[in-house]
Amino acid sequence: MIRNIQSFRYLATLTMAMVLTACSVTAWAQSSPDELLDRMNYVVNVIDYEGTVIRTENGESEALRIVHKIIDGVIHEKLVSQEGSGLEIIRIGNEVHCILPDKQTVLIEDWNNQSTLFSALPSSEIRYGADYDVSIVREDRVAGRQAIMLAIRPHDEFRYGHRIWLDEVTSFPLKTEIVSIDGELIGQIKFADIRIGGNISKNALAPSMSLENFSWFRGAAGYDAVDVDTNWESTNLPSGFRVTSSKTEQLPGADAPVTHVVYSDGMATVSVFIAEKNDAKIAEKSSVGASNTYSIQQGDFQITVVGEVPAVTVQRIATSMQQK
Amino acid sequence: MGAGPVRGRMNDALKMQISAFVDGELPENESELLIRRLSQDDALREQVSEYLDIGRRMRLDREVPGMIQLRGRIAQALGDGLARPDDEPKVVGSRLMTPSTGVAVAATVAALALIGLSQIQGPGDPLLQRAVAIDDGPVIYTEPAVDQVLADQPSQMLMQYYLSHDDSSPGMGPNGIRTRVISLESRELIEVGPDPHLLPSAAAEPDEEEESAVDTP
Repeated sequence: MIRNIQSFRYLATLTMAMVLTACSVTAWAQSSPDELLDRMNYVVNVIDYEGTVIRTENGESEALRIVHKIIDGVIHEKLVSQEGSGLEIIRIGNEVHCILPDKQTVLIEDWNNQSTLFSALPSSEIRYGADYDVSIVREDRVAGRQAIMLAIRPHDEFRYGHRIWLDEVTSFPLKTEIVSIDGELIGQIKFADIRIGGNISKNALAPSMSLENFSWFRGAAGYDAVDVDTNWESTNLPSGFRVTSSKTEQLPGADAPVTHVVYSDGMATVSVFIAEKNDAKIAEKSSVGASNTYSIQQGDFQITVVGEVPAVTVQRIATSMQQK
Repeated sequence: MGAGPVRGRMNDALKMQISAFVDGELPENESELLIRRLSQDDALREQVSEYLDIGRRMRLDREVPGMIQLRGRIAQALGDGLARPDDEPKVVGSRLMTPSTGVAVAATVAALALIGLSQIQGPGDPLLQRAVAIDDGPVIYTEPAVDQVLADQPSQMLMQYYLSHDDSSPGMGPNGIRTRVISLESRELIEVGPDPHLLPSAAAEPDEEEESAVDTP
């Protein structure tokens, strides 16, 4: 029975590969950008791959070896830093093992979401409204493969643009860039080499070293969140952003629950955290790659905005939060 | 900056030593001496702060991991100097700040190396600047300076906000991984047994039969 299932999976994969190969070489030219992105969304969730990824952020680069394989519907992923101490991150479904070779330690974390190195975009219905244009720019070559470059361009300075290079055969994203409105590169992820599909060994997902004498630690449980109607709102929200959720969350280390309001324009997401003012200090501004934060005290509250949007956007939202 | 007692001058040799530390190439014994020297000499520390600030401006305000590490080590040295025995059990907050949390510190450092969190940029170069801002008085490093040093690390709360934001954001790119890994810094950690999934017997399962690659150039 198991053998039959394996044979079926093999045939299904082979068929999918043949269909993708036959269709996509000629089909991409007739495809709309939306169709290509929808196809990318599908592919990143079902396809196995391994390769070397170069991440560039704030002008600095690092190389990561990645293996990604779906086994019985569960994402298995292994990331190995090719620099420094050789940190390894092994993901099995929602559980992540962070292996620190130099400290002979393994840290286990539960991840609630399905974040992968290449997450899917939102569905095309909500992906962008009037605030972005998407277009096919040109053919290019990435990681030794033919690619189609798409550009998602914002209409104003309150959001970033995206460039995506899709594999011509599979629509897998071989390279992605986040850019500012004036074209400045904010961050980039690209494959230097990649192998898509085929026989990716389960052993390639195993730790690269013996963990026999390692110490193991697990992170404590996550936080509680409850949906609420909040009386907080931004009075100067950039166009296109709207509330997608509002909750109260009891975050680890916080004395009291915080209100968490999420805004989205379909592409970019911005979180607003409203906490009772306390002694905890948060830098007024900070940035990590494309993520920016802005924190401000307003009366008895500390308002902190986090999002993959330009600094001007988080500042504008933070300073315009008011109680109705 | 005030004009505290000058006990040292920043010469080329020291600049080279600091550069080596920032690049992670200074031997540990020399690193210890450097940290000790900087933690005891406010004037020299001020010069180093300015030196690092100039370097950072030349890199268009980008931090490098070694600079954060250097500030962290100085902060630790200052903190050690202030610690009194009856204070130790009262240290609260991040597990990383307690002696028993070397593992988590290690995790953070490793995570920084992997994900470039070291590029977190706040206004100015606060740790050293605040530390040297008190040099008008005697060469004693008061608790506010240490508090400031610790407060200017990426705060636990901000890490939690990043983490929660990531849960709400489909995101594109590595943000999910990055946020999750950096969150290790502020997590309570519980020692557990090994995960059988990662032990050799489970990890080295026989492979399934060959499948064809979609396209391998």
